[in-house]
Amino acid sequence: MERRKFEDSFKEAFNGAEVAPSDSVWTGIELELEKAEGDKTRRRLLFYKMLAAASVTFAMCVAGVGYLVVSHQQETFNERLTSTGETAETKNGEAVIHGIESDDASSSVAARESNESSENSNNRIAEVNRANATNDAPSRGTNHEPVQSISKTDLASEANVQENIVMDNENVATSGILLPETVQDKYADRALPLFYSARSPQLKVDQDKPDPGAVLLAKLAAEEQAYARLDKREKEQKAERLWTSVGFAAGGFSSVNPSVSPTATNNMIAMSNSTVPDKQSKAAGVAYSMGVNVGAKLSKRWLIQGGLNYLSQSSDYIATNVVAENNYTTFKSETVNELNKLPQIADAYASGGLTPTVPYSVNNNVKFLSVPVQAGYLLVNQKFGLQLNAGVSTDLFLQNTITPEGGSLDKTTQGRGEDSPYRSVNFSGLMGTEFSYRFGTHYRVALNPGLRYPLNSVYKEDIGIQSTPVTFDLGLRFRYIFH
Amino acid sequence: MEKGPIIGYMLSENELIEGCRKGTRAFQKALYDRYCRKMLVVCLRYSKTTAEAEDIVQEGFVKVFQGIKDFRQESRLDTWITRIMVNTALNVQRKKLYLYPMVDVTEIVLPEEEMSLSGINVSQLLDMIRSLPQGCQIVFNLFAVEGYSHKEIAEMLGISEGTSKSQFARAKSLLQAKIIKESTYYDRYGEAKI
Repeated sequence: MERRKFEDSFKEAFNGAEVAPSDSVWTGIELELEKAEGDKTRRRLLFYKMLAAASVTFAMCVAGVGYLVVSHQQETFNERLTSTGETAETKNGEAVIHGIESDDASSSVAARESNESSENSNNRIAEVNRANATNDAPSRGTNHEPVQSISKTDLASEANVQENIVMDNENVATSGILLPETVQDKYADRALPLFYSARSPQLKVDQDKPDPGAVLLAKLAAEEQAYARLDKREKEQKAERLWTSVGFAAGGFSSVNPSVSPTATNNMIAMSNSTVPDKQSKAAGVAYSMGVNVGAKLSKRWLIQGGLNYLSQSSDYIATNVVAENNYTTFKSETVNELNKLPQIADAYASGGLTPTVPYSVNNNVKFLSVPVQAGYLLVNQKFGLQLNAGVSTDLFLQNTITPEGGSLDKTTQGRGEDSPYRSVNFSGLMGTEFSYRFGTHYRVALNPGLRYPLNSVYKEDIGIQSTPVTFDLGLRFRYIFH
Repeated sequence: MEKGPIIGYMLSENELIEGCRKGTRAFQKALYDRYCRKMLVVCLRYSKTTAEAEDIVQEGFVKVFQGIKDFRQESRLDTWITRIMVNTALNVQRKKLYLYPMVDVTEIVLPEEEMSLSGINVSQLLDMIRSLPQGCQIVFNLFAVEGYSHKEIAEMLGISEGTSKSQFARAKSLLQAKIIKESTYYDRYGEAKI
């Protein structure tokens, strides 16, 4: 039993025992926590960086594939255009012969010959057409025989197919239906029905009636033109020429190469005594924006968009002093705003301007009115859209609000003007991508990963603090398309 | 955010936990102020110097603030914090134990007279514990003060149960010798001295 008693007596001896640690322990804890929070922010920023990089890479890949496909199609089109140009002189003949005999090496000679002969025959057909046009109906039947005899005589050495084609043309010509030139060209490449390629066609077309095939072709041509007009009208209705959008974006920001070098024009002593200028300029935090945008298409691929956005950037830092005013009757948080207002004195601590206190957290919220103008390039413009954006933004500083957390210090707000350490007008470079999905004829929803890089320090030049917070954000936009 | 200073002792345990879960620095400071003195005693028992104990307190509280989101409030807050401090201290001491491994101690002679801690203050007891050899100090704390069994201690420290028992016996023997010495001095002069 004595053993248990011995152990219990030790346990009881330490019950309620307390020893105060030194002040440096809490400072160490605070530094560790700040470091951990910084790491967390950096990881979050890395995520946004990776997302932006991935989206740009993806966009470039799509652009590359798109370029290859478009260039290949262009080449094919050009080739076809060239071959069509060659056959334009020979009209119907060559296409059919190429279609039948292109695999045979010896056929090329025959093809050339047939080209020449078909040119002759076509000229003759044209003559016949003209003749028919001037003749009245009863004379049509009489014209048939000489034309047929001409074609059979001149094209006796050609392939039977060619002969039949000529016959077809004769029939069309003699039937009194004059197909427009465009219609004849349009159907030149089409394979002819078996009826026309037969050596001795059984079906004889009544000379008094129009050729049903030609009538059908004419009807089809008219229908096709009507559908083309409808398609064009529908495309025009669906085209996204002008749109407006509302959006919200959230992300993080961190300063790139911040530096503090207080100049003689501001309160250099107070700035040097305090660590806040350094902390405030280096602080990373969260940013969000919301606003309305308007966009317009300049060409098939290029567009321009601009708008008006409300931008808010919020960051935290730890202050270890307060700024005493009115002979220690009022105290304010230690911020660049307040430090900059302190009188030029030899020692900010000695004069009471800066008074050490327990560490406390301060939140600095900076608000801007942003007017972005961006050019965009559409990589994909279908139901799913993908575009690259780049441009500049004019950011008008509105105010910054200092909120000391959990203390008895008051929240202060400083607007733009001479008293503010922030520049009234800032410029930022913008870059990003936009993944969108169209639903309905009027709406499109888009996801926008983007980057905002300030082109100048957000602080005034005479403050001596360089801070260019780079923002990575992810936005969601809802677009309404005007027709 | 409420106005005015946050007075730690006016807050309930739940309010403190909620504030710390949100990461508010003032609530973290209030929690630290409430428990730091008690936790330093815990860490002093596991360390050789005050600086070492303060390092453990610092590391332990960082873990507390980072892990408080996962604290399910199934035990008291101070019990949970104490456990974190002990684990942190053990992590620090394990490195030393790797360099100076514990060995079984034979032939422990325990004094037969009754032990009494009367007249010995906490500071002296702490000094006695901290003067013990590394292995004895840890095993004694875990067994006598924290209330772990030898089996649990063996698992925690990666030693055999027998080693734990022998280390405790050695610690007890050394402490008893010191206590007897102090008690004699106290009886004689009315004031303890080490």
